[in-house]
Amino acid sequence: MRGRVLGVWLAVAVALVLATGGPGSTAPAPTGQLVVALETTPPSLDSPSYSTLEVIEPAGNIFEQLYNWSQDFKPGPDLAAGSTVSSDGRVWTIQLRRGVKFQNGKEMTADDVLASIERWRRVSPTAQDGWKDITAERVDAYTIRLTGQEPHGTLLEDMSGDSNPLAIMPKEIVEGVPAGQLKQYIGTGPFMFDSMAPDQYIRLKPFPGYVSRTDPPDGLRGAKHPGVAQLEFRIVKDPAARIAALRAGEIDIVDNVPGQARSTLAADPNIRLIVVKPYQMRSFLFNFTRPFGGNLKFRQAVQAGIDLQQISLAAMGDPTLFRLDPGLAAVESFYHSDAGKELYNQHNAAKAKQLLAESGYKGEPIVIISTHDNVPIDRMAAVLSQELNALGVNTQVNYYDFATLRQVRTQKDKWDILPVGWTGVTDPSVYRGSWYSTSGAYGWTSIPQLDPLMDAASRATDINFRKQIYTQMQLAEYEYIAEIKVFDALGLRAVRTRVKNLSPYIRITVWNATVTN
Amino acid sequence: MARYLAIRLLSMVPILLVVVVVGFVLLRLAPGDPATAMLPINATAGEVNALRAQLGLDRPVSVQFIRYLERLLRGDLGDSLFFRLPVAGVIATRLESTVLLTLLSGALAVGVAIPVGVWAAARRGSWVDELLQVLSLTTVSVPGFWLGLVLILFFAVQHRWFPVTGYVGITAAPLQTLRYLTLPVLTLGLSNAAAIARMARSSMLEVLSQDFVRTALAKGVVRRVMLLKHALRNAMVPMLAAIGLMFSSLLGGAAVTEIVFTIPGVGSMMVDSVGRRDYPMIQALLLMFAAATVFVHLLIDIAYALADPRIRYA
Repeated sequence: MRGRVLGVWLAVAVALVLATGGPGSTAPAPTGQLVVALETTPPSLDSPSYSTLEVIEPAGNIFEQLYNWSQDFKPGPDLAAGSTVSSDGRVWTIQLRRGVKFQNGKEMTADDVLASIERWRRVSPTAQDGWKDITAERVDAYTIRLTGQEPHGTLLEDMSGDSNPLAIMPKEIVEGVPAGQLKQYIGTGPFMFDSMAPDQYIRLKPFPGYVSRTDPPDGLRGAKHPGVAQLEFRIVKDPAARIAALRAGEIDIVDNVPGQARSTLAADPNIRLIVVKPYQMRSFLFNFTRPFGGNLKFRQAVQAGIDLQQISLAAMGDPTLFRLDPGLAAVESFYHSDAGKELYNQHNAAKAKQLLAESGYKGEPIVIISTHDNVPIDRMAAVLSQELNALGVNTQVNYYDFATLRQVRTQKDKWDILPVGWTGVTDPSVYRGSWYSTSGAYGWTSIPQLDPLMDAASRATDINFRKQIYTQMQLAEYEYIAEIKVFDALGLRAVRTRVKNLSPYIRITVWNATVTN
Repeated sequence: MARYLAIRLLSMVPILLVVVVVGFVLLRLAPGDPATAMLPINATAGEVNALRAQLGLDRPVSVQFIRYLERLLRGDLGDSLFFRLPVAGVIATRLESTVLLTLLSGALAVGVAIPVGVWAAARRGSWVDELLQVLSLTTVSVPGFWLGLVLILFFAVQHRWFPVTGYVGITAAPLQTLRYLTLPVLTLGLSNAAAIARMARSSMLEVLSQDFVRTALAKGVVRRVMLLKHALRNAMVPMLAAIGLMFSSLLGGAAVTEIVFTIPGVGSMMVDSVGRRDYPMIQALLLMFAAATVFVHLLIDIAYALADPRIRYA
């Protein structure tokens, strides 16, 4: 009889332990709904194929990566347990965490990771360019080996990138799928896909089988414990409507708040404002296939003559939402440098006119392409045009709707200068596919002096040494000018005070957030 | 009348055919490519070409048009390039909100405008007339989106009586539907009411200056009866013309209103589809809007005859 009673108590104890998530689980059950505003409908949640925030932010809750950024932009293991590198920097062995489950119930193994890597190499510009010579192979069910013909020092940074991220998905859903055409959204993340109504919302729900890391939350990695029962990304296209919905309590988080709404929101006791640093780097990109885009003297003339303060102020509309800094990696990054600062924001009309004369420029039309659909790009183009006209350059600004601009910027004969914005400017290694590449989607930059530096940075496994190379690379960039950095845009994020435990990371990172009613 | 209706209905066919041809050609002439717009910027040329082939965009335009026409004759509007779903199905999910928004806004506009116009005309030169004139001129001058934002700030942000964004289907919760549509309907309806009120006032003033009105009043007809029974009916024809024109304005205004209030309707979808270069969706919506406009004008023509028995259609 005593044995039966003991058995019942044991069964009750086991049931209680299971119900509460087992030993060590202290997270309360997720409750409430957290609503994050999105500016536009993502074409898909196929994050490896896209670099845009409306894809990355929702998808980052569903999918995880082998490595990911910490708060101070250093790569650290996420789905990986750890890694070792050979002394020559060519062979990386990556151990996977055991017992990690996909949201379809299957355990993640090396086969899934290899299939995800194979697809990522096809769809991501970082991998298309930098992983050409890397062979990926299975060592055992929980170990993979990456072998390069050359040393690959930035391998962990490449895998940590959250723009076109190396998201790990089950082999059976990812094999052979072209860019942007993933049909099922199944990852290992803390939230799983629930439903999606185009132009309305994307709803996620907590993944009950989620296996969290145990190290403290840090940037995009560390422990994740979903705190809300429903995570909704609501698509609200009109900026004023987003602000109104936030103030009315219908939305909890709005990013990229216009500067003119700042004072209204600051006066609302239910809303707190966060300045996100860095948010974007804004630049003017030259088309190297055009007579003057490919003319160094002409590029130097533009670099020397324009007033970056005026362009930045016009673009952002608020002097506290941008900063002028020469660094191609943001001030917050380990890799930041002010090399080339004497060539940044010179605002020297006499020098510019001298360089223009030396370039052989004789009033030919210089085409700047832009769009009214993006305020900073619109204003950057307008002010650049005025400033170049004042220097004697005959500019023509062609405006397109965004869909047309996307097509036009890939056409070599249609433009000379393009205003652009790069997100997540913390580690130059993740941008090699976009910057300084003749095979890039646009710009077609050709600066032979940069290639050996890019290669050397890519090989360097020691981050202090790599920082030195990046500094040289930045100096070369200022001398040869692939693009003209204009300013660092700082983001303004508005959050209702009922949201707790929001990560301070530059992207909206909400997996540990909770809400109070 | 029946013969007239049959002819008018048949005449819709060439009109819609012109819309089909012009819509198709204009879209192909416009810059921008659906495959480029749909795929990530880093998609390879091979992937862009593969998608173009998959979507049938690699074929000659004439072949694309014939195929489109064949499908259209079978009642198939094609598949949306963005949603990867049949266009008809996607439109069906969005139609309810736009139809309700347009009908309720139209009803509000007519329901407010005609009494206001008649009242102002009956009190021509009085302070009531002056006030209504100023109010209608102000309302007609205010952009619809601005009026919407003001209503949002007062009723939704400050008082929280109505939601700012979203929509609930009428079959799910009819009262919630009305709650979600109140501010959008006020926005769209009031903008259009002002224009019709001004038209109603001027039509009534014209009729009130005619001899039969003076005669009726001299014979002892009560002024209220004369206004509502005799004068209003005679003033209805130009008002009906204005109501017909209002319908086109409502469709255009619905797109802006849906964007401001984040209502998933076909108006905002038209705007989005242009940005996405979703050709089949744009073509289907163009056709639908054209058919609706032609049909509403037919109804207005029938209403002319009902309002004025002197109008006869043969």
